[in-house]
Amino acid sequence: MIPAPELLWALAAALLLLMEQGRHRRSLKHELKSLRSSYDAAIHRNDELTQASDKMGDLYRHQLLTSRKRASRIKKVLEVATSINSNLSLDVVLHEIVHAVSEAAGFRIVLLRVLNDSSTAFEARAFAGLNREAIHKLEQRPVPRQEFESWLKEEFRVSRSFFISHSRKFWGEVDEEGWTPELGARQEGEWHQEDVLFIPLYTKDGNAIGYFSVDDPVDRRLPSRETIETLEILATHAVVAMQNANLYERLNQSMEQLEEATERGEQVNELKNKFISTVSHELLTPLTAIHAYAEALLDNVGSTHVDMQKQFLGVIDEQSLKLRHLIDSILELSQLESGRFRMTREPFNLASLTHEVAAMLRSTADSKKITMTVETSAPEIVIEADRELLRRVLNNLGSNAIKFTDEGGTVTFRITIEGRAVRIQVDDTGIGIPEETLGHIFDKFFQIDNELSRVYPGVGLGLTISKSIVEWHGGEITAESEAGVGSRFTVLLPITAGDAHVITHAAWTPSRSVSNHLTRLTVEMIAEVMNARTASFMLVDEERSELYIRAARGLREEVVCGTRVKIGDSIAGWVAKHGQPLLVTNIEEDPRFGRPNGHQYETKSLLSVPVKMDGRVVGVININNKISCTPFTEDDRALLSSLADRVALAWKRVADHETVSDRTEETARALSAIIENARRSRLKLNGGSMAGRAVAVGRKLGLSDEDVEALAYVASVHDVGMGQIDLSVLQEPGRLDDATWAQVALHPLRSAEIVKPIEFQEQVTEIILAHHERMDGRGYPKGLQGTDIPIGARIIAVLDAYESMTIGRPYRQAMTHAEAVRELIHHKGTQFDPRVVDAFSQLFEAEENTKLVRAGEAA
Amino acid sequence: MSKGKILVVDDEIYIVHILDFSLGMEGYEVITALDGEQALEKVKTEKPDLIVLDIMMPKLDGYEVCKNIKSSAATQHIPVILLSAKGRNVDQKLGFDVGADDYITKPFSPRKLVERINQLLGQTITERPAPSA
Repeated sequence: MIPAPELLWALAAALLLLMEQGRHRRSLKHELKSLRSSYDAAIHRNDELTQASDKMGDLYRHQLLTSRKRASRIKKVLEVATSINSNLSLDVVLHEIVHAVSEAAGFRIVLLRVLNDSSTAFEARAFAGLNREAIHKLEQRPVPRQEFESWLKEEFRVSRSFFISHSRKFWGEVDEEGWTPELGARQEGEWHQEDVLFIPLYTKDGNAIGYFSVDDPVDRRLPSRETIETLEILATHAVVAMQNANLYERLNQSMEQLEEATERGEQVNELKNKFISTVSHELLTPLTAIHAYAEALLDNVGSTHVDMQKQFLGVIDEQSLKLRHLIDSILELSQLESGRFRMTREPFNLASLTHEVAAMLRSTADSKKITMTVETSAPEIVIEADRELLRRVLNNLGSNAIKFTDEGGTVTFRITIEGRAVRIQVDDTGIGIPEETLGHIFDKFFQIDNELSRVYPGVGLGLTISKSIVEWHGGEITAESEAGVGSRFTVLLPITAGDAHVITHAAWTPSRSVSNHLTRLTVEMIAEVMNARTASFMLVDEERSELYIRAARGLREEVVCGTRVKIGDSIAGWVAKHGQPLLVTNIEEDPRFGRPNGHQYETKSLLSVPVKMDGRVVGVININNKISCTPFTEDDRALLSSLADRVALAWKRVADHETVSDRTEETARALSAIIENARRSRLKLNGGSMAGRAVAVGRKLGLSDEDVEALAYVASVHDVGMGQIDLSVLQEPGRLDDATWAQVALHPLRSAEIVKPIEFQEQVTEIILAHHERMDGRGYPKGLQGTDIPIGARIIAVLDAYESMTIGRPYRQAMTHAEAVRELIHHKGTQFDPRVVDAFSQLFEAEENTKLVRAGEAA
Repeated sequence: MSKGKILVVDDEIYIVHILDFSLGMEGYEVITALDGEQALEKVKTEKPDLIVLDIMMPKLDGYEVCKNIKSSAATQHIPVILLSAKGRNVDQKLGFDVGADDYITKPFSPRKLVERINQLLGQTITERPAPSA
């Protein structure tokens, strides 16, 4: 059957429909597809948006946190800046600065160094976050300016600071955020312990007066620019604070000096007034008599009383002579005291001079039936001195003795030689001197207050002049007396000028009240303890801004009298100006003092330290010519500084208590004991000094400078108390009996007692007291144990034992170094501190070898 | 017949001698003391009419002696002349403060001292009040 056309249409229509449907479906599919893709895109965009929004949030939070941090940081910086600026004491300011830096910039460790103008090095002055040992090490090592300047390289520069990285890669690459914005980079941005960040402290005119360096940041990161900015703001404030403090300190100093000068001026005036009123009274007394008698004579011109007239004329004559004598004496004394005096030393026979003086006095003695004798240990005793001046002394002592001795008594001159000194002794059997006035008989015009002057007339200046003369010769004069029995005056004079401690009588000084005797002991003590042949003590003359020699040993008189050094000039002047010790190993090679060696110095090494009272330099102690002929060392410097501190203390104590002679006496006793002790130990010692060993061991064990100095001092004095023990008992073999043992056991206490008048450090006393204690508690005097014993005492104990073992006793042979060290090691822990013994044996391992070598060289 | 009894106190023996001489020539009886303590004793035992007193003396100085004399009813009427080398105004003022009747500085003229003594004794004799009952 053939399809009908309707069917065809239907078919066609169906086909069309199908086609249409297909197209529609396709387009729908397409639409669907594009819808899906735009849906997907939308979803994707949404994600992106969320992400972006999250990012924004993060960023916002971060910004907020940072600005909060910044705000609090700025607040902190402002706070600390205010606090460091509100203080005026430099040390406090420096301390505040380092802690401010630590807190505000977030570094656990901060070190502040300050430039010392005189040594041109940066000294460590303030610390945060460091232990004592580290501080000590830093203090020990100042940074020379040159070294500091070598760090200021462009490649290290960040802003005004300098960052020296442990690895070259970071040099000069600090960015806005520091190195640690991303976690991944964390490793690289971490602070390395060898990194260095320091900020110089510049003044307005561009000079670096110091710097601080920081370490151990709290966040463990390399510093950001912000951190560096904080540090630099603090640095600016620190500079201002330091300059303020410096100015304030200087102002205070000048104020104090001004006050002191005023006070001293008043004191000088008072002294002058007192002297003038005394002198005028003394002058008026004979003048009054002359005037009264002359007038009486005039009023009675017509009188026939010839005897009366004779008698009156006699009084006038006598009083005129007295006046003349008085004026002469005052002139002489003022010359002696002004220091303008020159004496001529020449060798002469003191024995024959004494006979001469005695012959002159003979007639006066005979008239009182006094037996006068001269005893000399040899017919010829030649000394180097001013003959005429000594004649005055002998005459004064002789005529005094005759004057105060009743009829029938005896007066004896005795001249004997004692080592390198000569002893002149004048004894009488006179009325004696009451004990309470014995201490004043050398004072000017002492007699005026003494009722004896009526019975025994005199000017009252004779003994004062004699004392002055003797002291000019570097000698000393003393008096002993028993009322009703007699008196003894003793003069000790050095035989030659070279042995003399020449004393100059200087203008008024802060130490005026320090007697010549004490001054001499001071110089002697220094020379003996330091083993120096030459020692001098200079004082500051503030008016002239000069130093002059107050006393010296081993220098010639011309040098002592003639030396005046401008503050700031040459060695002593430098020391006085800067208030710091100076050790010159070889003066010819030292660039600071390139000048030919003075003829008075045998060696090229010298040591000079300041003497300070209340922080002000009042004098300088110089030593030259070590007896061993070796150069001075840093050990010697430590010891001498320590001695200088004590001298200053002793002098200040005496000066403060002018009227209390007890202080002078106890100080003199302390000095004498130290001198004796030094002489004793010099006889014993063959090698290095104990003070030197003490310094070495102390340093090795990490003691501070101050502790080391104290230790050096103790090593020189810890046995002064032994001087009071009869040494012969120690020389004998066998066990000590109980009484002797008690004496020996007490010697630490005695030593401490003797040096007390010149001691200001408690630790010194403690070390002296405990240097015979044992680790196991079986020592004396307290039986302390282990670390209850001060470290200094534990060190001295080892050195003391070593010394006594290597020196030996008459009954016990000296041990060798090795034997002694073995012995020390054997008693480690029981008697000795093991750390000290170890340090000692390591330090002095080579000692014996060196000694052998030296001995070889000498041979 | 003596014009009066005068105590001379000075630790300088020559001064005592010359005053002894000058006052003796003038008709006074002179007694002497060489220090302050001795002076007070002599005042008590000798009852002098006038005292010439040095200031700087051992044991007890002139000021103390004068104060002592002027504070005792039995002796306060005795005129005291201080004779001293201390010539400053303050020294003199102190002298008058302790009751001295006159103050003469050394060196002095014995003649003028005698005149002053004559004057003082004349005055005191006429002006001395009648002893009260």
